[in-house]
Amino acid sequence: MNYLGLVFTFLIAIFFVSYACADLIPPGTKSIPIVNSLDNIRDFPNFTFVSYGDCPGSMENSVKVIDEDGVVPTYYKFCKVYVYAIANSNFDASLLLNDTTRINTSEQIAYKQELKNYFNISAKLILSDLEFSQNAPETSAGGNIQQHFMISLNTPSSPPSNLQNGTNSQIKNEPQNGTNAPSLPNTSSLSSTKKTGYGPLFYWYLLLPFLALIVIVIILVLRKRK
Amino acid sequence: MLIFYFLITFISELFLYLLFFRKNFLQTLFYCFLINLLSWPLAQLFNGLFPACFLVVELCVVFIEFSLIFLLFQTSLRRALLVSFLANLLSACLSFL
Repeated sequence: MNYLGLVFTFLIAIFFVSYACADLIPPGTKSIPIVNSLDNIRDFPNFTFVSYGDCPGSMENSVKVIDEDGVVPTYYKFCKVYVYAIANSNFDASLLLNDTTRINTSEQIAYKQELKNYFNISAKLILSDLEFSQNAPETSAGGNIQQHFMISLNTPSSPPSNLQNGTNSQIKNEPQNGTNAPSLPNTSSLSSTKKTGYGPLFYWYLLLPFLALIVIVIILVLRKRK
Repeated sequence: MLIFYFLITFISELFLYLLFFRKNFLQTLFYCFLINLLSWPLAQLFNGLFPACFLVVELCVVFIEFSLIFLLFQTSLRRALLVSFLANLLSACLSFL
């Protein structure tokens, strides 16, 4: 066997394995989807609201128009998601809604750069780093977390440069299908989940490996005696 | 849900173990279960406690499983390392889905 090849493969794989970190759910917690919505999107008929997902390695078009219901489309978990407001007069559908799949990396980078330039000039950032799931204690009831944002504009008819950043001034926690929604996953509750949310599971996580180890030792001892 | 995650890991690794150790299915199944029962909860625990150390935890898991495969299956070091590495790579890749 080629040891060098094995070591090289291992090192390459480690880079990818590190991405899997985001999937690991700490003991005693579970992942709950978040639905982000812009509540007062209908108040600004002169603007089009789009979400943009900056997704590592993605070749697909990552700009999506937010419908009148104001719900921000979900993106793959590794994407950084932004919401922009664009004056209808500045809306460039040929650029934003270009669904060409770009196999070539340089094309992909060029398109992303073009989008960034466009957003810098013709759009205004409303929200950034939106999250679409959140860890909550295992004991929480099921359901989605509804996160509502109120957009504020000084002068809706003016160019987008006058837009102000959206604020999550109103965050609601709505139950789904009659179940109680989990507690609001704000930053403080999340950190406390990490610190204190293990409960009895913590001991199971220690007990089970210990039992397995005992069985393994017994097997090895019995084998040696034979 | 956690049992479900464990089962996914266990089944995916079992699949790989069976590719390398086909002689005795029940023995492979039992050993694979024991190895996973030892490494999986500890990996989850340490990943939960120290999320930033994911890589270190994964390396430890590969090393622990490699040692156990070597001892339990009485195979060569090289083969044990390969099985451990591939099994953990497969289960880690599955978490992307």
